[in-house]
Amino acid sequence: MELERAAVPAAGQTRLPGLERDLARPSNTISGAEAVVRSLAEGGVRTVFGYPGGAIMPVYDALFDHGHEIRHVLVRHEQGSIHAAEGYARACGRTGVCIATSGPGATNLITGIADAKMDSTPVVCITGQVPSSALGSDAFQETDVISVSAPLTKWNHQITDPAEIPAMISKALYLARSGRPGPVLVDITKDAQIGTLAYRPHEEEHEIRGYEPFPTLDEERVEAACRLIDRAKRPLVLVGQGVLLSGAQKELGEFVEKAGLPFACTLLGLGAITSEHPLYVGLLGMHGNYGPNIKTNECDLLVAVGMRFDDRVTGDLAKYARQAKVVHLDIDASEIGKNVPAEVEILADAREALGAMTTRVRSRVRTAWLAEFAACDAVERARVIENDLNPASPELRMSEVMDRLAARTGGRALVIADVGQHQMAAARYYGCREGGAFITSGGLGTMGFALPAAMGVGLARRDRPVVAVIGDGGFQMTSQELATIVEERIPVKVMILNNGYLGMVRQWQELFFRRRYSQTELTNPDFVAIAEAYGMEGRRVSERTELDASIDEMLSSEAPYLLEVVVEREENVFPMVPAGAGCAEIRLE
Amino acid sequence: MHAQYTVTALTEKENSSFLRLIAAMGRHRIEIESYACSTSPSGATYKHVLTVRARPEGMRRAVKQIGGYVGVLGICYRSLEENVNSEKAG
Repeated sequence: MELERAAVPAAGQTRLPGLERDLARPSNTISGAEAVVRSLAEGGVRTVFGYPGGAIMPVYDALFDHGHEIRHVLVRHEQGSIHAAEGYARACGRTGVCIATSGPGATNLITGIADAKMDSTPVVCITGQVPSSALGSDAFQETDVISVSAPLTKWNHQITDPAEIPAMISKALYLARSGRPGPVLVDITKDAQIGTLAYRPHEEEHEIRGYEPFPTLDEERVEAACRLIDRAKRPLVLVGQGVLLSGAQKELGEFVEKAGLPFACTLLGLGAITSEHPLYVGLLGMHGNYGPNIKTNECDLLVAVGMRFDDRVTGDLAKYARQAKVVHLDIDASEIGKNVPAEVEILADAREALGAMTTRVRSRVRTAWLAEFAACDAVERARVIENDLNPASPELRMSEVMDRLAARTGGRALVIADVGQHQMAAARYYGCREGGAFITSGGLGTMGFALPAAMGVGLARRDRPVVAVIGDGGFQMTSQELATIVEERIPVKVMILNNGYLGMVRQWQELFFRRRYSQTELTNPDFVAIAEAYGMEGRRVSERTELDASIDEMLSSEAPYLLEVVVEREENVFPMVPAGAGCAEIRLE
Repeated sequence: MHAQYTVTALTEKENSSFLRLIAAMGRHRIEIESYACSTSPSGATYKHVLTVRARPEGMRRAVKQIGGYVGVLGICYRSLEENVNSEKAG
């Protein structure tokens, strides 16, 4: 962002005059900006992603002295900072933090805020704001970010009094993480950053009226749910991201294994349990597997855990599981019964509720019911998967690339998928095994998410390979973050699946718009040359015989690496539930 | 069929509570006919009273959603019929 003229230190000065004064004050009297940084550090924040500008300069000045406590990652666009914070949060379970200046800096965060809201990601955004005396005057780089972000955040607040800073930063960190996680935004006017306060870390517990992040488990409802499960002949468990957010992977495994329950995952629920689990029956949704979509409308009980019956999962609600009873377990009361009415509603943390259900539910084996999923699997394998993995054409298919990536990593890499056809190929064919993860923009479907998010994942987790799987369209939305990746030496592997199209839109144009490819063909740059220009290793591959070796080369590199895989131009992703159809109307071709 | 409802919400005294309330109504295609806001005697709480027109399902969803917002202390709604019956009962 351009500098606000009044905020520029005079020639030869390294600090603003107000901050020079701070240095002479008693040790607990500090500037608001210093309080921001100290409060973040006190709150356990060790990494922040951001981009400086005029209205946030005091905070950046304070950060200058706290490099030993908080690592600041300088992104190349504010959208990159919030996606990186999202990736960081989703990879390690801590709250992601990003910092931006006022005006365009703040508004550039908005897509990421919406993304974090849809995908329940704990992120704290700190934005600078013009001095309180200039609020409402259309001052340089003034935007009413509180109004703009209100419908998209879990909570937001503008600080004009420096004395508020410790409590509000602490509250922001608490709200982002507790209950159903989500994004919060704290907007701090410049005078509040420069003004002083007697600093005292905020240590009191947060008691926020009307906010109940940890609902008390209703044992009677657990009993009622277990009775339904015990009686059910054809039950199906739907696993959403709530399982991952509550850390209930182990409890989920014990629950489904004891009751003999087949389970399917939503896009964001992938990775909750290894895809090799014998009770795992596949991916739900528009491009999910045949079995779970068909059997949703043949089961007698749905047990939904930490999922929200998104329209991509249900298809036409009027045709969705009308025959089934529903047990809906979620931590957010507003999600229960929102789209699908439930016989038993359990408002609780997934980990606690699954543990309680496991102790009560009867031990069962449901061989015949599981065999029905196996039969569906055989149909899908014969009509879709076989051709996806062993195509007759000489061109590479996205599906086989993802299958090979899974094979070469053992499913133990952290895969961050962007949005589009390659995302669905990755979800279908990159089977997460123990310790692996699949992170993607599910609810908002934000193209450009994967590269910066992978950056955050790479900083949060050094124990696993981090692979960003991106289409040629999405890559060009946030490709400037290659500079950050190189500068910070984050060993992210970038896999571009290049088909020269905005593939998913093109697929819909082919199927539903008489092949009128309106504005979906891309004239692309040389991606390897771009990587090299940023100082990254890069390679292009288009031959099947070279695929494994090129993946191995990418994975063995200790530095960031870009692998461009040229794939079939007009590949379609199947199965597919057409828009407006019921989930059981899934098409295999 | 859009019916008339009266919505009453108590929120923390924060400006963003207005924004969230109105934005949620708009998102659920709820037509606001009147709106009044007062501060509680303690000065810590806003009481919002809205007369709206909405489909029953939209009303139910919106109120459930708003009820979950941070800073919303309580929210309820009544249909016109319920209000009339309540008045008749004295």
